[in-house]
Amino acid sequence: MSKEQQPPTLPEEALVKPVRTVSKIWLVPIVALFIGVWMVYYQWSNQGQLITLQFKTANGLEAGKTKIKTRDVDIGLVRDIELSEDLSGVVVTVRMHKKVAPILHSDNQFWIVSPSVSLNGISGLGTILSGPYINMAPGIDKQMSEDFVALEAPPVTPAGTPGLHVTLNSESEFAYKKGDPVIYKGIKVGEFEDIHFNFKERIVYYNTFIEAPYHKLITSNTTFWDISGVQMELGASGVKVSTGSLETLLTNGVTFGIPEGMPVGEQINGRSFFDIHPSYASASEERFKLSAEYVILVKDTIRGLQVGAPVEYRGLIIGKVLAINSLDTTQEDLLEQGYDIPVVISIQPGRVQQPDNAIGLAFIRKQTSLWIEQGLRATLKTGNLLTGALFVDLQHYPDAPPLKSQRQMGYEVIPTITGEFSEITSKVTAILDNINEIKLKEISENANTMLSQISQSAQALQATASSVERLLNTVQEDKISSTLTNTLENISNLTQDYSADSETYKELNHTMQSLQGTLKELQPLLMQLNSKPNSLIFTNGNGPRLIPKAKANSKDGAIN
Amino acid sequence: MKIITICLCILLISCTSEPLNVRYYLLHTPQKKVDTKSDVAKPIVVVQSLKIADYLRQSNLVLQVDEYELHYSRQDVWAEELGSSFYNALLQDLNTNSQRNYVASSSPEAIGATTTINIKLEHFHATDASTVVSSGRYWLSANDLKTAKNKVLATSSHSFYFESQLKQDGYSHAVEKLRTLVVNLANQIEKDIAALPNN
Repeated sequence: MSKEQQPPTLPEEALVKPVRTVSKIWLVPIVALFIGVWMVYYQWSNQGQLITLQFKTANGLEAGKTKIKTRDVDIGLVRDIELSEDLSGVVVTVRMHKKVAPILHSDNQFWIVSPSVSLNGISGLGTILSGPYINMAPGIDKQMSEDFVALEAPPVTPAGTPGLHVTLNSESEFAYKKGDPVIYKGIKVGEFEDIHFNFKERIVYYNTFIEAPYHKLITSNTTFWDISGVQMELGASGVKVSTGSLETLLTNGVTFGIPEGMPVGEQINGRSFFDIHPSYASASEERFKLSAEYVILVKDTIRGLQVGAPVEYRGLIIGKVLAINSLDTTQEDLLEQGYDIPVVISIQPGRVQQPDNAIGLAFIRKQTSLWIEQGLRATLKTGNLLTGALFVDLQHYPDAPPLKSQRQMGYEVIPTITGEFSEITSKVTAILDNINEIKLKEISENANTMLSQISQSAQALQATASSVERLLNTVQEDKISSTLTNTLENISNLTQDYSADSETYKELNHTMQSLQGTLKELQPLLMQLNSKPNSLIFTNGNGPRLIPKAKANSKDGAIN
Repeated sequence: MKIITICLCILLISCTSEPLNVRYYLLHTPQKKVDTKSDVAKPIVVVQSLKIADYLRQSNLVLQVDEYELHYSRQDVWAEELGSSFYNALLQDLNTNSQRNYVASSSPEAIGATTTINIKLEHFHATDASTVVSSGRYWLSANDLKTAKNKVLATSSHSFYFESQLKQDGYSHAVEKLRTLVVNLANQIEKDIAALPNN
């Protein structure tokens, strides 16, 4: 109760302390959040562009695995692969590295690298284990892009490669494919990049790239010709075999050059068109552009005459045959007896030392017209006896009747004269007549007589040969006989040494007889020893002796 | 010791025997008259061969003690083989007082022989009947000298048998008698040759 009576004391003032509202532990998630945000920002800020590539197929591509490379350096990764909206292809989404963004030119080329084996070589072997990847060839276009259409196959020439693009065309049957080489003096200087067939012109165009610095060789006078495989040429000097390079032995290829005798020409800088000729010879022929066309009307056969056959003037080639029987003649004309077959020929001014231009052409036309009036005539002659190929020969025949210049189907007509064939026919007829005049019967009789004489001579020769053979045999037999005689003499001498009268025989006989006698003398001794071995010692050796007795004593006994 | 030596000497002396007294005989004896002069005029007869019986082919002299029993004397032997001895003796006898020139087959003159003689001696010994006998056969062949190879014209076969009485004992006398038998044979041959067609 006492404690209750104590005056109450004032309570102490409470010490008020501020209470922390946020714990320090919250710093950890905040820091973590900051780090996460930073990481997200870093990732977002460092990731590259997202580009889309359009492929025909996604052969071998895998999302999250297939890489994009340029110069064998990874520059991106395939994120997504999906079909295009119209289902005609595949759209591949690729995340590129940030540093690559400046080289995403609009003309960049993309293609899938996978193992391939072809005549041009083996490529992409490394992808057998690593799997295919998408390769990028940077372009040079200044415009950037994020959507690209990928190539189906690797580009032959990367974009931006220094060189010259030319377009070649060929009307011939030989064809080239992508990657076939362009050869210049055995060196590969370019490749066929693309093939385009022009349906309207029915001509194949080949986009070809000539690498630097060889593109400087392409000039306005350059001609291209085929060099595929092996070229074999049968000429007067023999067989000539030529080839471009080892590569063109297996694949096709073209080469180019400036035909002999032509100027180099101006260098080509832009895309140009060139024809591919079958051979250098045909390419050389095409170097003259202008020509004057004429027609000749052939009365003889034109078998062996082909388009392109040479037109010669006194042995010099001055043109070629352009067309045979291709003029607009009616069928009635063809069936008409004595129809002249029209053959269109050309005379090129460039081949007759005239300028290859209008002036030269006009000069040729004028000169030819003048010569026709003075007796220039055309004939078909045999150029090759083996093949029977014909060529057109222009010659001056002063005795020819003068003709006025004619024109047919728009061409000036060069008159023709009888060809070689008719001349040959007449000559053969004359030869046959001569053969008929030969006295064959008489010749036959003479030949029979001669043959019989030859037969007799042969028989005589045979008899002589047999005589000689006999003679030789006799000689040989004599020789053998003498040899045999000598041998027999030797044998006789040998046998005489052992004959009955010879000393050797006598000596031998005597020895044998002595031996025999001795043995016979020993016989009693041996018998005695057999019967009584000690008799040799214990007998006196005389024993009973029998001797012949005289007549009177014989009765008394023979024992002495 | 002396006794043993003496005994041995006696033993050796008792073993000694009298040496065998061997006598040698020869048929053909040397003669003063040796007809070495070859008479060309005489026809040549060659004694081609002499074959003797096998039991005579030994040096011991033979004595016929019984009809079928022979005795070879150990002390009486032929000095020369009987065959050649008989041959030489016969040749010697043939050339004695003969009209022909008998030559041996090994003689160089045998080439021109007109007659050839081949002899086979079957018996030539003494008997216990006090005789000596000689028997055998011989062949006379007449040759034609005109032909190139001495073609034989004719061949005749003859046998002979001679016997002689022994008047003395001993082999020496027997050999002497045997020698006379050779003479007899020579005479018979001479006669037979004279009867040949080419003589």
